[in-house]
Amino acid sequence: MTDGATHTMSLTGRQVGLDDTVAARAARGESRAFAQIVAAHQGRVARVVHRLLGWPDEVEDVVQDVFVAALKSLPSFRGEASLPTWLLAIAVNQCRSHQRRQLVRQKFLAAARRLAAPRAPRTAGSRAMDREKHQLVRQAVRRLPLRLREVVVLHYLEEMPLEGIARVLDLSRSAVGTRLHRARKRLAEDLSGRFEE
Amino acid sequence: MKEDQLAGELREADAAFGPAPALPEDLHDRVVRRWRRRRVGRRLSVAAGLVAAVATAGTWLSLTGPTKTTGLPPEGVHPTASGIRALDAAADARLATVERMLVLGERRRALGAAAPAQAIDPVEAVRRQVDRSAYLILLRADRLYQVTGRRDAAIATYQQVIKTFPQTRWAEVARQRESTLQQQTGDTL
Repeated sequence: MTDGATHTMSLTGRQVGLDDTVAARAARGESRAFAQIVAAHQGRVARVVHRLLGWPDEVEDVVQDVFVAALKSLPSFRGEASLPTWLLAIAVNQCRSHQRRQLVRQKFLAAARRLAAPRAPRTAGSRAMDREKHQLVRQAVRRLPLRLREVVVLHYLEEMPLEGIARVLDLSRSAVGTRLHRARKRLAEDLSGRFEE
Repeated sequence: MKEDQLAGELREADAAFGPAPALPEDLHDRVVRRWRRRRVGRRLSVAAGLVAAVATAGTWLSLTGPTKTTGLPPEGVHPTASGIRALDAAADARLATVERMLVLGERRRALGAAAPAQAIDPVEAVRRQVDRSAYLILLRADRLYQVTGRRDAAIATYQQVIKTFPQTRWAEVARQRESTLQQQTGDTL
């Protein structure tokens, strides 16, 4: 689960330099360079989008939007942040936009698709209890506001340090810490009450 | 719930869901196609916006144009002294135009009435004049006899009408009256 995250976090200076070179070539219009970027980062982008949106069944549309936005913004990529960090920031922004569109759509269609029923039917035994517990955890994360869900996903699931999250979200480290504290508190309240039932 | 426990629950729940949905192998091509579609869409939107702006400006100018050309203030605005002068000038100009149109109309009507008179055949006009002259001479002969009693002078004048205007109806009248006078002369003799 965390292989991609650790891989990204353990990027060497040489890898970062390679990414910057590829990004520069892609910014000049080299289609092959952009294809390399997509191939190298689509897995992690898809995983982050999947988690940020609350584990939906379909993420391709948002992932495509992430790379379309990246293609559009490549000429302005100056390499101040690493390419993965830059792509993560775009992914977070695209998830926010997607969430807003979904909320508007739900208001008009009155369809709560994001809070759909569990995918697996309930079965007897401890395995079924585990599934129910995991489902409750995911629902608790889904209930978090997106700004809190972002720090939870990036910190606990992507295992990013607060400094890295701050760069992705364009926040100060203390602001990220504050959000993480609030998210933990809300999750703990939500889950402790349900686990006791 | 402690932070470690919470982190563990989150990771277990995430892992239990499995990996993210698979992406298509041609994701790069799809991304590039979507990017091109959106670029074309943006350009079309800009073009449509420009067309709409030009149409709006044209409509606005067509609505406000006549007010500017006639010098009339827009509705709901009280005219100032200069505005009143402009209105007077516009009214005078319109009255002058109406008067010119009336004069032209009168002239056209007069020309229309005169046209039939001018259209009379010249031969007919001469014929009328000859007929009128014959009548006047005949009338003079009548007066010579009836007023002054000069029969011979009257007969000579009738003969002058017969000789000078033989084609007129008055020549026949003159002939009858000459014959009458001649008979009266014979009876007297």
